[in-house]
Formats: sequence, structure tokens, C-alpha cells
Amino acid sequence: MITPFSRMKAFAAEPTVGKSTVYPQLRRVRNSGRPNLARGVLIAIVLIYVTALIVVPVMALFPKAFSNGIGASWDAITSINALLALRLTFILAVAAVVVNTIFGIVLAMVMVRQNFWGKRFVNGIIDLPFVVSPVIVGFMFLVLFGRGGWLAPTADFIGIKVAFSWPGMMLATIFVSLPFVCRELMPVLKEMGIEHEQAAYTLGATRWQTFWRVTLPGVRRALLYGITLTFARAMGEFGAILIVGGAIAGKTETSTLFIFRSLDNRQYVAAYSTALILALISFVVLASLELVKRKQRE
Amino acid sequence: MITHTRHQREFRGLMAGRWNAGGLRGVAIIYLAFMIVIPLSAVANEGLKDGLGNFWSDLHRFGAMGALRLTLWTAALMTVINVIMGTLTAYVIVRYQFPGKAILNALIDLPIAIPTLVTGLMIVILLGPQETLGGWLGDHGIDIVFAWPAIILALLFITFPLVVRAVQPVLEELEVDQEEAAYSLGASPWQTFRYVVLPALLPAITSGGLLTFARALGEFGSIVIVAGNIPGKTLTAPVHILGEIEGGFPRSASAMSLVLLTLSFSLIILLDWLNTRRKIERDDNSV
Amino acid sequence: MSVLVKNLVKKFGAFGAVNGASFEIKEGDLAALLGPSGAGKSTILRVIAGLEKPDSGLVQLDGVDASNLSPQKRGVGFVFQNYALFKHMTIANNIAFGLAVRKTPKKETEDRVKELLNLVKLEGYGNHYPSQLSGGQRQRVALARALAPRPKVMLLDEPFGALDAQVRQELREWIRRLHDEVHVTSIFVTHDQEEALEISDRIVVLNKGLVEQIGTPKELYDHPATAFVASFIGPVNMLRGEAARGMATVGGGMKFELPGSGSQTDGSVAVFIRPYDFDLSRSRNAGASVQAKIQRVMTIGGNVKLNLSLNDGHTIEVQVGRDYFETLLVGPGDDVWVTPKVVKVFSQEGEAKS
Repeated sequence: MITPFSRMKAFAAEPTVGKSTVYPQLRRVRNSGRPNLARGVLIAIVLIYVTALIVVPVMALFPKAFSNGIGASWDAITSINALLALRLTFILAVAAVVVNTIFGIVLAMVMVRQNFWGKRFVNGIIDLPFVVSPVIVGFMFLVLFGRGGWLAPTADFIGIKVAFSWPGMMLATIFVSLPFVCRELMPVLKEMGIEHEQAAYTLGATRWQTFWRVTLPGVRRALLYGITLTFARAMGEFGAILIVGGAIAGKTETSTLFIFRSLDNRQYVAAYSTALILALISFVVLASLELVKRKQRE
Repeated sequence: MITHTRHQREFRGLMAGRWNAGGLRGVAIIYLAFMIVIPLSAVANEGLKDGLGNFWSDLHRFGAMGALRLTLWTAALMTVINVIMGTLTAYVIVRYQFPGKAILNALIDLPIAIPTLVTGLMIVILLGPQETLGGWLGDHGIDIVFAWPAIILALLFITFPLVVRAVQPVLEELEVDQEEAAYSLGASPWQTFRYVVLPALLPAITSGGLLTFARALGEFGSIVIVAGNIPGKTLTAPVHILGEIEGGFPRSASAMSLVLLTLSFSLIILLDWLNTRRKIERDDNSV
Repeated sequence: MSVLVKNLVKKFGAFGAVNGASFEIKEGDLAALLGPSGAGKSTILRVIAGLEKPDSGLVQLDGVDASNLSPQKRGVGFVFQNYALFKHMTIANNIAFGLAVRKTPKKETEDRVKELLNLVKLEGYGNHYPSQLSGGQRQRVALARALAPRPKVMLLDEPFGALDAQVRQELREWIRRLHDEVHVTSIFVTHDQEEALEISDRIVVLNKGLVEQIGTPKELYDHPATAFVASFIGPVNMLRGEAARGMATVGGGMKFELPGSGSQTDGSVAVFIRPYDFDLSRSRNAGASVQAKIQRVMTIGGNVKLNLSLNDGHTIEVQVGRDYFETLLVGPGDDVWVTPKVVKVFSQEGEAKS
């Protein structure tokens, strides 16, 4: 199983605590590090690498987005197609969050609390969306619902159009963001154990009451973390929805697809400004992740 | 430990009788089947429906093999860099105290939140041939954007958190004592890292590296923007699939998809196996 | 190798862990750094090992200033509280580590590892991993590993801290025997006075980052230099009172003559009396005799421990021989008279007055 992100960074900013000492003042981060030169060089390498790889490119976006003045950028991002795209982006992301939160909780409960044949295989399946190429994701829903697809008759029967339409995009978005909630919840659920739940049962709580009042509050931080990651991943999806949705302006075009089309049409200000909006949303997401992380540590 | 497991097992039995555990499991499995297994099978079916011979010739259509090769070697090279820099970053963050550490620690997560398409765009803005920096580099014979270095760069950006965040918790668990013990026994900092720290981190580094590689194989949004997509030169496998879909060759697109899927799935299985082994070892070693 | 620590200061942020400690350990001694949590014991040990850089002060090893030597070059063996064994290496490789990094020839390393496995009674465990060993065994591996490169000083941080009571006792005696065998200068940190008294040649008592007293266990026990040492080492009753005109008066009207009367300043004092330094009788006798009521009687083997309450509400603990106690024919609720035989009086600043 892939280690969930919130796990990966628990206590990340905390210095390592020497076990032998009781006083918080005595927390040790290798201050014994003799070769101060080497230490300085290592820190410098990392800082330079991160700055060059992450900070500089992000910063480069700002001047470009406003290269024709703020007015032009404003016009570009408030054009009807840009706004429709942003709306679709949010609708898809919210839908992915809702579906994957519900099923993520179910999946996590089943994977942690039950033993069944083929569990390890199922466990591997859950990780697949992390690594399947978005292009393949879009394509497989096209194959499934397109002409001659296995589920095309069913969709026709119900009367919804999946391929080259928003339901297909929604499926693709749900697919790519599927693992996050489940993966964040699993270790916390495992750690929490079943004693609390059993205590609730002995106190007369029903299954449902126990879930709402004991289990869910116990994992709420991890859940929040998972939801944030789900949202971020869903919002940023591009390849899968490009293929399954067909990127029809004003209809099946999300913000990322809008950027892509604007680039093709050499409408750079529109592309860069929208990219900036998405980057800013990412910052907000990142900030909320940090916030949840801090809370977790308290 | 043993009693706890037995405890849980009893509870599971209890639960099964008490409420509909099977129903919940059914919901979970049907969801996974509908969302993941059936769509993937559809692609596999599409790729193989006209027999292995056609599958094989699809894979040898113009540019296909070149795209696959490009994807594999860029991913491999990038993984090596990411493993080294990711491990170093994790080490510096866990073991050293310096100004700006909290910001650095937060920045590492940024690539998770930024859409990959935007990542590609940022790289083009910075290093594109018409831009100041990119132009200057181009004048000196270094082409980055619309060439393979941009692919490496984009992949490094996107996968940066994967190794760092895999190594970090293991390093935190590894007591500073062990390093100090090595020092007091006369080991140099390099010997200490090589013989004490690295072996302890190796499983985490390996799984971070595998995840990096698997993630890189499928990357599309950033690469389609930065690579230039010249068939046979800077066109990667996912972009090749897009081309085949748009060109009306779904069977060929499926064939390449099938190759990538097989690779991804094998990597995931390998990762799962490694992590399970690691967990067992760690339980053994817990004092 | 002798170890000299001079005016050592080490602060962690605003917290002064060591505030100017000085002491010397002679060649071949087994010495204890004894003190409560937060006294700075471990920090001093880590400074001696070079794992921590002092803010100021000096560490000399064999008369040579070692302040600027890296831990690698100090020739010290360090045993960590949690052993810090390399989990991914076998026991043999753990022990061989210090030799391997010095590029010692293979044959020599193998012999040394064998020798040490014998020394710590772990023959046949060479191919095991640390996780397969018990706590006491791990502790012995940690010792063997530190001993392998033939250090001139052994430093042990709370060596028995993580073990259960019985293993602790065994290992304690074993370490003393080991020390007499290998005879390398050793310093260990402990907060357990019993441990320190039992096995060390010399004890350095630390409190709040300062040395309170240095001496042999007997010296510390019989002649504590400060109120802290008196209260920290061995069971003791502490009574507060006033000194005036050469006399100290404490709880219940006990009066003591202060030696060299007139030279001391008057003021509040603390009086320390060991539980077995009391005479007990049914009637009043001369000197500082004072009345007390028996609250509880605990018979422990040949001795009897009594909790007595003085008429000012203080409780003292008194220990007498069981045979003698039985001749008194008293029990809980009865009144008895107690007379301190040996007392230690300290002024409020903690300086010894008698």
C-alpha cells in the first residue's frame, strides 16, 4: 500500500527527540554535527534545488499572467468561456469529493475491519489510479461507453450520454482521485482499534450511532486531509477529461482544458491568468493541508 | 500483539453476525469493479480483440516503440535524480535545524496541489526558447523546452514529494543515537551514512523510487506542453496514445495502454510486497 | 585514562543543563554521575564523548584538551540508554563495526569479536539480530560493541534504565566484575543512588547542572557536604528549625548543640537524621530526647521500621533492631521517647554546620 501523505509528514517539522531526556529543551537535532562545512553545503544544495525546481517556476507565472496589464488578465478570466470552465472544474471536483468521501469511508472500513479472500489484490487495485496514465483513464471510459462499448447500451437505455459529455468527465475525475480518502483513513482506523467502538456498543449505541459519534470523529483529521487531496487532484485533472470530454468550449471544457485551448489559439494572457488562478487555488489547498497537519500534531 | 490479532478476529466474527458486514464489502467491491476493473478490462479487451499478432504490430506502428523507449529512459533517469535529491532533502529536513525549514517543508507538498498542466506551463514560461532565460540557454546550445531535458524537469517537479515523504518518517524513527553510536565508534560521517543510515532507509527509498517511476510513466499534462511532441524524438508513450485516439486508431491506443498498465500494475504489486515485508520487519524490531 | 571536566556550561535555549560543573575521574576508576532528572548528567557525558559541544568549559582526556576533537577521535566508548544497536546488522557485525571503520584486518576483527562475545557471555549469538535478543542481552551487546575498538574511557548513559528490576540487579553486579576484569576508566550516569553506591569507586553528585560533591560512596554517605547530598543519598529524615546562640531547635522541641558555638550565624536550619541513628526508649532520657507517638510499625526481617509523629505534626521514620523493639512492648498509638545519635545540620543555604 502506498503510504498516505498525511502519514508521511506527521511530525515532519519536529526535531527528533532524544529519548533519554525528559526536558523538552533538550530536544536534539544533530547539533553534534561536527563537519559544519558539510552540513552547510548539504542544506545549501537542498535549498537551491527546491528553489530552482519549485519556487522559481511558480514565481515566473506571476509577471507573465499580467504581461498585458491587469485589465487584460481580468477580461480574460471573466470571459464567458473561462467562467463556464471554472464552474465545470468546481462541479467535477465537488462531485469527486462527495462520491469518493462516501465510498472512501466504506472502502477503508472494509479494508481495515474485514478479512476476505483476495484482500491484497483489492488493496493493489485501490492504488492503481495513482499510477495509471490520465490518458488511459479518459480512453478507457471512452471505450466503455463509446460506440460498441460494453456499457454503451446501458447508458443509452437510461438515456444519458457519457462519452464526450460531462458524465464521462465526472467518472474520469472520480477515478483519478479515488484512492486519497481511503488511503488517508486506513492507517488511522487501524491505529484507532476497535475498543472505542466496543465501548460504545456496551453502552447501548447502535452500529450507526457508533459510526457517527465514535468512529467518524476519531478519524476526522485524516478525512479532512483526504478530502483536501481529493479536491486538489480532481481540480487539476487534465488528460483524462480532455479525452473523454472532447473539450468543447463552454460545454465540456474545464479550466485546465481552457488553458490548453488558449495556448493553442495563442491567447497567452488567458492561458497564463487562468493558470495563475489554479495555482492560487493550489496554494489555498496547500495552506489548508498545513493547517490540518498542525492540528494533527497538537 | 498476538492477543490483539485474536481479539480482532473475534470481533470480526461478532460483527459479521451482528450487522451486514458482507453487504458493506459488497458495496466496496462493486464500486471498485465498476470504477476500476471493468474500465481497465475494456481497454485490455480493445487492445487484444484482434489477436496477439495485431497487438504486436500495433506496438510497432510508427513512433510507438520510440515513444515507449523515451518514456522509460526519461522516467528511469529522473527517478535516479529524484531518489538522490529526495533522500538528501529528507535528511536535511529531519536532521538539521535552519531558518526557512518550515517553509521548505511546506513547499515540498506544492507539486501535489498544482495541476500538472500548470506545471508544464510554468516550465515553458521560464525556459521556453522565446523567454529570457530559455533564450539565453538556447544561444549557448542548451535546449530544454521542446527537448528531453524539459521532460525530466517536469517529472522531477511532479514527483518531488514522493521520495521525500517516503523517507522522512523512517528517518524520524531512526534514532539519532544510532548515528552517534557510529561516530563514537570512530566512523566518519560518510561511513555512518553509508553503513548505518542508508541501510535503514533503503526500503523507504526503494518504495519512493518505485512510486516515482510508476507515476512518471503515465505523466501527461505537463509533458504534452513542454516536450514538443515530435514523433520519434520527444513524444512519450501517453502522448502517443492520445495521438492514436485522435487519429482514429483505438486498437493501437489500447495496445500501448495495455503495455503501460501492465508496467504500472507490476510496480504497484512490487511496492505492496516491499511494504508488507518492511512492516513485518519493523514489527519484529519494535522493542 | 583520566577524565577532567572543568567549568562546563551547556545551555539548550534558555535552559541551563550544565552550569559550570568541574570534576576529575582518575585512571581506572568506575565512577557514577548521580543526580535527579534534569541535573545535567547525560549532557555532561555527551560532552565528554564529543556528541555535544559545550558553550564553555574544558574536557581533558589524559591531561590533553579534547574540546576540539570530534567524537571519532576521542577514543571513548559510548553505551546509549536505548543501546542504539544497528538493527539491520547481526550482533557480530554490530560489535565489529568500530573495527571495520578503522579498516582492521579481517582475521583480527573476527578474533576480537569472538573474544568480546565470550566476555559478555553471548557465545553463539553472533549471527542473531538485535531484535531477537532480550533487553539484558542487548545491553551486553552494546557494551561489547563499545569495548571492541579498545576505548580508553567507557561512557554509559543510564545503562540499566530500560531493564526490569531483576535483570538490572544482575547486570549491575556483572558490570562491576567486568570493570575489574578489563579495568578501563568508566563513567556511568544514573539517577538511582543505590546503583551508584553499590558499584562505583567514586560518585559525582550533580544537581541543577552543578557538582554538589565528589567522593567515595562511604564519604558521601557519612559526610554529605550539602543538604542536597544528605537528602539524596540514603534514607534520611529532614527536620526544619531555627538556630540561635549555638543551639538548633527543630520539630517537637528537639535541641542540638552546634559545634564551635558562636561562630555560626543564627537563622533557619535543616537537620538530617538517618532512620537508624535514633535511640528509642519508653521513658525520657538525657540530651535531645523528645516524645513521639507510634503511628505504624513495619517489621522487615531483623529490623523494625516505625513511623512516629512528633507533637508539632512532623512525621519521622525510625529504624531499630527487631529484638530490641520487642523488649519495649509498645505498639501503634503508644508514646515513646526518641534520641538522635548522629545528626547533620545545614544552614538554609545548604552549607554543613556540623
